[in-house]
Amino acid sequence: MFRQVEVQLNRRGRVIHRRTALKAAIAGAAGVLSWRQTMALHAQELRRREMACIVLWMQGGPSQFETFSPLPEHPNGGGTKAISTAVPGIQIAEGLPETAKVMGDVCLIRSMNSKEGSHPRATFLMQTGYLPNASVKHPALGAHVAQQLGSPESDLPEFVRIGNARVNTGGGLLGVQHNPFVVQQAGQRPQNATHSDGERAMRRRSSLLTRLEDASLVDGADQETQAQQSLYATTRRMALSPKMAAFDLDQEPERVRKAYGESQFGAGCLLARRLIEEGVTFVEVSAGNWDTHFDNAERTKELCEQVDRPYAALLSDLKQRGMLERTLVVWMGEFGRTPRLNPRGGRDHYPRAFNLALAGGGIRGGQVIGKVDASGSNVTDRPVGVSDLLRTVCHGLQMDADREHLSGIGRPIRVVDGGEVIQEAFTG
Amino acid sequence: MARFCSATILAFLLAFTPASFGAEASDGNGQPTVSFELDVQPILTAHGCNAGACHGKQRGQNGFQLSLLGFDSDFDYAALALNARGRRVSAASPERSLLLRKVIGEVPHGGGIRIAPGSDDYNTLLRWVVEGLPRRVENEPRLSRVEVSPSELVMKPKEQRTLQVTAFYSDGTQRDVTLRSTFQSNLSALAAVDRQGQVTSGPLPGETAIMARYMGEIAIAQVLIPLANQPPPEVYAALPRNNFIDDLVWKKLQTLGVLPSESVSDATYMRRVYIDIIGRLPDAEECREFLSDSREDRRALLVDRLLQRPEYADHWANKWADLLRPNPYRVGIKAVLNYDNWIRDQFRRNRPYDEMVTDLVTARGSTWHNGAATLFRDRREPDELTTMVSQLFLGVRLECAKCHHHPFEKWGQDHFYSFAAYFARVGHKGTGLSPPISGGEEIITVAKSGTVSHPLTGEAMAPRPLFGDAPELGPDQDPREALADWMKSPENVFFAQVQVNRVWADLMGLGLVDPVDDLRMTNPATNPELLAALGEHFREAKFDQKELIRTIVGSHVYQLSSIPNETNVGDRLNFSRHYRQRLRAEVLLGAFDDITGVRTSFSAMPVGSRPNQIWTHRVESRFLDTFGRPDPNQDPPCERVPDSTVTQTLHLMNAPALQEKVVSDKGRAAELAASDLAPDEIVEELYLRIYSRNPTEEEREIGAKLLAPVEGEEDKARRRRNTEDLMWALLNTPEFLFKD
Repeated sequence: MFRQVEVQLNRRGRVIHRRTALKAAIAGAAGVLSWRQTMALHAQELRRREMACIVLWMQGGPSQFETFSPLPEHPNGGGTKAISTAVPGIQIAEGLPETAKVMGDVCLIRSMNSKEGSHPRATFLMQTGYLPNASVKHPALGAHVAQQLGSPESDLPEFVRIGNARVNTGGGLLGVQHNPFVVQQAGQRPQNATHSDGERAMRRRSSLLTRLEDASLVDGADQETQAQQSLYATTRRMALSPKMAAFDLDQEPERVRKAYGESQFGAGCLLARRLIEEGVTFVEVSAGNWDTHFDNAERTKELCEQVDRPYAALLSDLKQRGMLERTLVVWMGEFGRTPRLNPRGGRDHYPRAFNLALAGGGIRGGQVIGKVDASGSNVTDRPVGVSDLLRTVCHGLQMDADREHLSGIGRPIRVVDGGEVIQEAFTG
Repeated sequence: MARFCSATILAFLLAFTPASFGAEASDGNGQPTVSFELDVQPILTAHGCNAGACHGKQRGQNGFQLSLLGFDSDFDYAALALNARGRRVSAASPERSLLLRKVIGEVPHGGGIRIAPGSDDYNTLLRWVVEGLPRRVENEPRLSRVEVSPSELVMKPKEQRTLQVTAFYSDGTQRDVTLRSTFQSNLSALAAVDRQGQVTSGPLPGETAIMARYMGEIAIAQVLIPLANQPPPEVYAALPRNNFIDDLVWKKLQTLGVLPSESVSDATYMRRVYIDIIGRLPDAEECREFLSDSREDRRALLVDRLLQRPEYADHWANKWADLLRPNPYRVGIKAVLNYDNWIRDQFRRNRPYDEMVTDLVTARGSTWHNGAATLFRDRREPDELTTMVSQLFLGVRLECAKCHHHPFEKWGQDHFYSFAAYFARVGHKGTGLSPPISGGEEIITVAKSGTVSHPLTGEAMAPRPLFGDAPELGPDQDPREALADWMKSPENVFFAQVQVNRVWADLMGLGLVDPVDDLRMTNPATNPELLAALGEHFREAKFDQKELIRTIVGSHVYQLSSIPNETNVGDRLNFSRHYRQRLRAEVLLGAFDDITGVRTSFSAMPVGSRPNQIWTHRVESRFLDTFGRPDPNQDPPCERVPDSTVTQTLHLMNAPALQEKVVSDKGRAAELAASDLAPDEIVEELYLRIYSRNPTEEEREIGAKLLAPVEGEEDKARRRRNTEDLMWALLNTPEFLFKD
């Protein structure tokens, strides 16, 4: 029988509590647990630790009809044509020709559904799995991923949010240390990471600050003062870490940058890959605004142009570097759009049937899960709820979706409440 | 494992188990003796079966669900006795019942072994099954209350004492329920409690409370571990006393053997009251004026002057805006702007708190004319109003009771929906919400009819207050008026207490009760006498907030230093020293603007507006977002996060918007550098503006040396650069960021 052995490894696979592991192996009922088995456990732990996640957040609620679920034959399709993809039998909307080429790695879900049709509530639901609630601060998925898979000793933050999305989920009851580090614009060092008057001024001022602090009247033994000073030190360490170079996209070859395209979203995707390479666990990149209440056709065309090439480039790049297997990439927004066009040529909010896309992290690409009816109004096969989706993501990342955290008043809150893993989404 | 036939067990049980409840009334002549509510449920609760982490959680555990902590006896009876019959309980062979086999671990049980076979609890459960699973026994009394004794434990470090819990019933009987009670310490490190009610104090002095719960009823024991070497009583008698606050705080400190810190200098006091009363720092001139004032009562005179300043209203209204003001995108710009104006007006006019609350909860009319009516545009349903009103004005959190019995309190769904019934007749006319613009006008009316019904029974609830008696409702009366009358009646001490606690927390850095609006028996005040006295004082002062502030900042306790002495270094609760607080986002940004002489401009606000005058948190400001303000995008809006973060630190260090203020040609640093002031005068000016104090000799020397001319160097640019550097450095220290 296998005994549970707690083996802790850091990101590079160095065993932190090796002595404990060895002891356990020896004590494990007279060698029941062989050295090889112990190493197998290490490998498993190491693999789990290496898992990472990128969420491409389509802020505003992307139209399913203009992305992955076109309806060329039906008036609700709005005249958007369907194109063939690398996978025979799967068609997507004409605005995504590059994505069509990598469809072999992508698993589409066309039967997503929820009940939340307002941006803030639906965003909160998709990102945390729960509805907003006064007494419990539900953590974002990214915070859970950072908490379970991240390594606290890293110079870089574990949970990075790129782009100015109207999203404000964070560490919640897991604590402020799991809040996302927000990068407003990819392609630049994070906001305020460099001193606006230059590094020389920064050093000059810092040393003056240190001199004054030594002379200060404030009692340094005080808890708040100490916390503030240690935070100041951590922040300076991050700002001066060589790993901050991950944020500089011009270190990438021209060819790679070109592949990701010119858009902000493209730069965000490239940055996401660079951060994951440097050991960041969860990166969210947002694109939008997909809230197309007016001129849906024209605006989704622009949005697709913005998103198509970077998405395809990200998947190919990750694959080429052998990172796709351990990086789960989720393309999603808070809900879909109404099947019928409104009088302004727009589509309104529609949570009853919408789509999203999964790739990497053990996902079996080249398949479609779920069906809607001919008008695109109702899910007719394999409905997927928000908890199902989040549980599936946790499964792909080899996380414990049932881990419970206590709220302020001691109420246990699971990472994901209910739901079932979409088993067929995965290989093997 | 040995198997007995059930007859043998029954005989054994009747002969040897201690009397269960019904047994006192009947004597084994065929009448059931085990009561489900009084015997079985307490056992399940005591062993944690129906805890929130086990079968008590919303969907139960592995298909078996009980009500949380046994608040719903009918539900639990159905779950055990009726659902999946023959599986959980078996009348034919009682000891084969899944219930009994699970709890002793005879079959695999996720919760492990909870009860030992053959124990009293096991036997009681078994007997209940043997007797045919009665829902009730004859003449069953009700549990009316529990008591814990002793209710106050004064302990030495590392000592052990035992608590006893007694239950009292409606028929006048009582019994010892210690072993079936659950215990919880508010601070286990200080005093831990085990399942038998044995309290073990830790190595450190301090105080905490221990909650004993038995079937929805709760009793509290206070634990006090005084310091080993108590100072003599004369020391306390000699402490300065400005008003009743000092009497009550010193009294508490004496029981703990803790001595208060020294009192603060005039400079620190000045900075404190400026920040606390008007939300800004004194400028250099104001500092000099006060620091050269030698009158005996200069501190009190300063407080009087500050209370008259116009900035008072914006600073305090800004706090209430956090609690009340909704997102204008959802509720409408005009309605929210009106609401914001209404809130500010209350503080400009120093409206008595009871009148302000009455106007708010009984508001009617157009949201375009009466800002207070926007409350009912924002919170449209009786249940939303119930949670908000009870929390804000009574310090009672009822959200839990909406769906199940409050696990730490006496509130159940009956309380919740009877209270909600006060809002049953709030009517809406005009244009409702239509986000993202919601610009329409809406009229709040009192409808002719309207009811709130209980979600389980469907019964229409009559309006009823949470406790005490409410004035009778006249036929044409707005039920909300009766509610307001009840809320502010002298019998309802919570009304004044939650507000004094809020103001106390703002001024002292921590509430007497924390969180500030969670006044429950299981979250007792650290100094209940003081909370009561402040509440009474507030009522006697006719709910005048300025008078309340004057009293608190006039106490000697408010004037204590934050620097600890040997006895109070561990004190985080009893105000034996001042607790430092990071400045609130709006205050911090306002201070930045004042110090650098460069104002931040905000969209949709007049030029020169201060950050705490902004009418909605939707007005963009990266600074305010970084340093924490409620996010009205969230419903409910998030609380302010007081923690410092990496992002905040980076912002202060490097943000271009702040750097520009420091290095601006039109800014204070440029102005000082270009002036005729000598180097040490510039240093003094900066210390007064940033720290509200004069520099020490050492600081003056460092600064003056930095700014002194150097031979052979171009002086002007250097002096300017070094003035900017000094300003930047001071703005990046904790002494600036915190109220000391």
